[in-house]
Amino acid sequence: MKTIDGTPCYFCGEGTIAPRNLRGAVLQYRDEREIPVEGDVFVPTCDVCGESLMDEEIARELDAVLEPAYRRLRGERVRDELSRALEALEITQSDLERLLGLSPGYVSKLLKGKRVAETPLYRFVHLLNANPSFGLRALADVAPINDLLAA
Amino acid sequence: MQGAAGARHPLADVRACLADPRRTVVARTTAAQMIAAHFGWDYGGAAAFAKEVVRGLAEENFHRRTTMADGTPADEYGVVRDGISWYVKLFITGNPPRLLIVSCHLPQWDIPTPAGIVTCTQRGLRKR
Repeated sequence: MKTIDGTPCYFCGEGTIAPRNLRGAVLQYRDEREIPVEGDVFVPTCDVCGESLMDEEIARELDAVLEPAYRRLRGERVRDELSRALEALEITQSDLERLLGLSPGYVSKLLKGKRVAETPLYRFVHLLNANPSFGLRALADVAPINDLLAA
Repeated sequence: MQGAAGARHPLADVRACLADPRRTVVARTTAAQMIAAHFGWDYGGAAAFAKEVVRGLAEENFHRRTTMADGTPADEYGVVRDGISWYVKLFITGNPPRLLIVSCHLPQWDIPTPAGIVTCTQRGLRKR
């Protein structure tokens, strides 16, 4: 985008909006709070407040840089959460699938990085890991998993 | 709503800018990023959505005039789209004119408009 170049910042009134390489910055992206910009992408950005302006072309370029990092980091974070849940509850992948109401084999696919977890599942497992034994007991109120409680 | 003054930037001019992708820009943190977080979309999808919300604005959605930090005059709107309330701030600047969508996010307060009150609690539009 060449239309905004060296413009006084509308947002803070102090800085200047000019194309800046965001490589190395950490941005909120999709529903993740922090995704690193791992490639070169020049976005009109204020040097004081950091606000950026995007047209369609810039948005596509930024997405192209952020999406691979998002998918990789989301996969890593989901695998970490699932592994922690399996370890804390001392249950099998099949048990965890029953616990979470997932299709057979789905946890395996997530752990192998063959699928990217939906946000509700990712966040729920994160919540479960905050207090696994409490979560297990609470889920037993609504799911047929009494055998996991007894184990 | 402040006084009887209407929008500084006529919606016809806003739509003229929207018709040309090179003449519309969207702020990242206060528009695209907040839409992206709400829906889980990428920036391209979020920016396109912001433009669609603005394209759907009518005069009855106007809330008030305001000014940016650098003194640029802007307009604020409140609108309900598919049952979800949205706060919008925009202005047109430059030659050739460019539309800048400053804000497009869930409102943090109730927004009085001629069409009714756009509620921040996502109850939609409340007629006065």
